[in-house]
Amino acid sequence: MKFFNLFRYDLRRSRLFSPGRIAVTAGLFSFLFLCFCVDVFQGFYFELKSFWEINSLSLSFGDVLLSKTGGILPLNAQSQSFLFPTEWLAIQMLLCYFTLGYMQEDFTRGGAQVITRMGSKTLWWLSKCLWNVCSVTLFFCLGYGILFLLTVLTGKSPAFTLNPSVFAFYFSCSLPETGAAQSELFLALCVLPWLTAAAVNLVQMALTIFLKPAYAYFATGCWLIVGVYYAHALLLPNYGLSVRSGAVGVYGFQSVTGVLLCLGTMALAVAAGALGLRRKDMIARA
Amino acid sequence: MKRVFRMELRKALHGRFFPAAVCCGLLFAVLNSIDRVSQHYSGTGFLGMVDAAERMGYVKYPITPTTPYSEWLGGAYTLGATLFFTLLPLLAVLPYGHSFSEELRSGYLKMVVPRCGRKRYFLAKAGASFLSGGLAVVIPLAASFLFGFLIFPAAKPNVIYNQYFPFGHANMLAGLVHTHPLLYMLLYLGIDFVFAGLFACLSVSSVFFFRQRLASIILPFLFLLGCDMLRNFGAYVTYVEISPMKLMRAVPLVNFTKGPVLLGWLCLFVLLTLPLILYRGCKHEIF
Repeated sequence: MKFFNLFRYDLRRSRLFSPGRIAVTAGLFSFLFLCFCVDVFQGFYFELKSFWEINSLSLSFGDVLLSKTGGILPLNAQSQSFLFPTEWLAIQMLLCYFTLGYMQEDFTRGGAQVITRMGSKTLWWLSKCLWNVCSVTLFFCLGYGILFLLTVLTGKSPAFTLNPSVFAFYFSCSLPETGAAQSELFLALCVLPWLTAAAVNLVQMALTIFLKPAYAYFATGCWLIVGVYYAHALLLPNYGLSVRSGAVGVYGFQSVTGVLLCLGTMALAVAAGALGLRRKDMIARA
Repeated sequence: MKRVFRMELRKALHGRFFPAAVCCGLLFAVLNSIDRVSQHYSGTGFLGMVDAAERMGYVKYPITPTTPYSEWLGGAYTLGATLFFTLLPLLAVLPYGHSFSEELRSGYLKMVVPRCGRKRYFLAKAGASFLSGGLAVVIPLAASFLFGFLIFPAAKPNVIYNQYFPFGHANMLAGLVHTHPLLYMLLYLGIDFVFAGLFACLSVSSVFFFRQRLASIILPFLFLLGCDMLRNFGAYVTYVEISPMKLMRAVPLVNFTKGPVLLGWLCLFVLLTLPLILYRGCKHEIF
């Protein structure tokens, strides 16, 4: 059995392109766009005559992405309160749910036979990893695509240029003038969240080899939330919160470090999963 | 009915998922306590401030900004408290949320339902889920609350220290907080119990619509995250807290809690659980 055939089988069997999943993803991102418009209208109520005039604030695709998928800035150590980026967490947890069950399900059903035919557990695992990355990519392409489409259709700028007053409204601090190029903002706002999510989902899938899927999901949730709370360069979820990126300027998490950390984590998750799977009793599970 | 319910309850409380959920909740309570106690005893902390104020003669009677009512899991805004309230739907569902889905798959229903009847079975299942979910959430909350009484002075919250106990007068039962805080907190423990129980019942009703095994555990959580996002609408206009997850905190931080909103969510969750479980359960084809 060829690796390509196995991968194709995974794509077909995992309901990756199921109408339900596509509808939920599209619904979530459309709702986030609606929330953005309502937020901006409420925040700049005294400057606008009606809801339909929010474009007079010169909004862009970058503003939509940063405010709804960018998370929050690290907390001030003096601050006693703790607010939470629900939208960001909802995106991450929904994606984690989409990729959670398939590997375990396939392993306990037809996996044992497929592995026997392939003659290698590692190839079977690599196919699942590739499927996982594809799922994350499809999710982000669909979600960001919908946001982009809605941004353009409602007459906002498709660029990544950030509006300082919208930034101040959302993050309660002024936007520094970093002079970041559009490509740097693209890397920080689009590529890094996708790469981080791919790494997080691969780690979650590797965890399901050792833990029950529900526990793995719970552990991933805790990891993401701790990442929101502790702003540390080695804590991966920080790179998924694009507002902390050095390109935005308030906080200095460098995109290159983020990319390297994501790739390293992905490699570790793949290796740990392959090792764990090698030691796993296939017959007892089948 | 009693025997079925007792059996379901025993399964719910004696399974390994119930202690796991309680332990997770307790872990968050410990995280919260470490943060608050270290703050309480730090050199520049609250005790030092009170001591300085008393030496300077600003207060006749010793009053303290840190009380058990402001420092427990439901009152503080720390990492532990945030983790607890964000993951609360998962904690509530973990003990027994998966059970109906598993029993449906394994064929256990085919054995039980002919013996005890559909209505009894589903009522017992919903009751056991409700109690186990509520207990899994309330035990860590109550432990954190009782632990607070071991450390912090059991004084009533004082409006002088409003910045450490930000309870606005427009909140639901605001009068009770400053006169009978213990009663208010116990009442809120009851509210949290009911909501957590209903979240657990949501997992039972979700099985009728979603076939995947994990859906019954995770979908209530995702649904509540969606409800939490509704707070964007009107957050800067009415200043009323809409999110059910934030309404479960005894001490609100940003927006005001209102009784009608709480009752509205309660009605919605009851409608989404009990009638649905009974109606769909009685119609559900198990063979």
